[in-house]
Amino acid sequence: MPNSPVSPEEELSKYILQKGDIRGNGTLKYQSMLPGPDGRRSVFRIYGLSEDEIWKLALEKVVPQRPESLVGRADLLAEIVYRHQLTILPDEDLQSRHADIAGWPQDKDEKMSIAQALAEGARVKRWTSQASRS
Amino acid sequence: MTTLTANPAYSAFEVLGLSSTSSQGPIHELVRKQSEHFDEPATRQKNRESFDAVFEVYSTHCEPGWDGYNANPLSQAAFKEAVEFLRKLPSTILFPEVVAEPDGDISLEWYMGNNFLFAVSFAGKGLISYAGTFGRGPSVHGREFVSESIPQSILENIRRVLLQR
Repeated sequence: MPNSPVSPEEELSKYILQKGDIRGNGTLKYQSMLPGPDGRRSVFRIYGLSEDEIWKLALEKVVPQRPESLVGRADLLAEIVYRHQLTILPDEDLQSRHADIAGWPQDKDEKMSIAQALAEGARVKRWTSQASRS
Repeated sequence: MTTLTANPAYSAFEVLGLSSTSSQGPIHELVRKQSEHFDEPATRQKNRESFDAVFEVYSTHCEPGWDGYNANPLSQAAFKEAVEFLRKLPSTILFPEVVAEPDGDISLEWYMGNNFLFAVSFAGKGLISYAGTFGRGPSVHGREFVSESIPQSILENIRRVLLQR
C-alpha cells in the first residue's frame, strides 16, 4: 500500500478512455493530461502493483460499467509532476490508490506547456483483452 | 434521424438543432458565412475543410464528460474562433489536427514528432493561448488576442515546428 505523500520515485497511471488520445506512433496527446474543469487531473498510484493488477484497477475503479471504453494508460513518474511545481493529492482512502494532480497555474498557455511536458514524459501502454494477462 | 446533405452548412444547422431561419447565435452566423463562401470557388475548399474539421470534433464532444471523466462540452464560441483561425491560415501551412480539450476549449495542433509540436487553443473569449516544444530548444508558451490576422509570433512558431518535416 502506498504511503500518504507521493514520493518522486512513484509511478502514476492516467487511464485513457479516448482512442484519439493516443497518436498513431503510440505517443500521448498532451490534451489528455490537461486538468479538467475542477482543476485536477485524475491518476492512480501503481506502486507495487503487477501489470495485471494495474489493469484490474482500471476495470474496477474507472470503467466498471463499460470496460470496452478502456483504451490504455499513460505511466509517468511523480518526479516529472513535481518538476513543474504541481502537487499530487492522494485520496484519504489510500486503498483506492486514486490521486489528483493539482496546483495547476491559472493561465491556459502555462497549463498547455506543462501538459506537453507530462505527455512527453509518459509511457503509453495500450489495453487489449490480453493485456492484463501479459 | 438527421439527414445529412451535400452542404455541410445545412448539416450543421440540423445537427446543432438550429432553425435555418434563425438570425441569432454565433454558430448561425458562422454557418451563414460558410454558405456564402461555398459560392466562391477560390476559397470554397479551404473554408469547407476548416469548417468540417472543427465541426466534426465539436459535434462529437458536445456532451459533458465526453472524455470519460468530467470534461466540459466544447463551447460554441471556441468552435467559432477555431474555424475563423483556420480560415486565416496561409494555404502554404500544413493543416493542423483539431483536438478537444477537457475544459471545453478547442486546440489546433501541429505535431512533427515527439518533442516537436506547437498548439493553439481557443476558449471563445478573444484570446489565443499557445504552447510548443522544439526538440532540445526551450519550450514556448504565451497568449495573443484574436485579431483580423494571425499574430506573427504564432505564425513563426508554426513555421518553426513545420521545419522538422
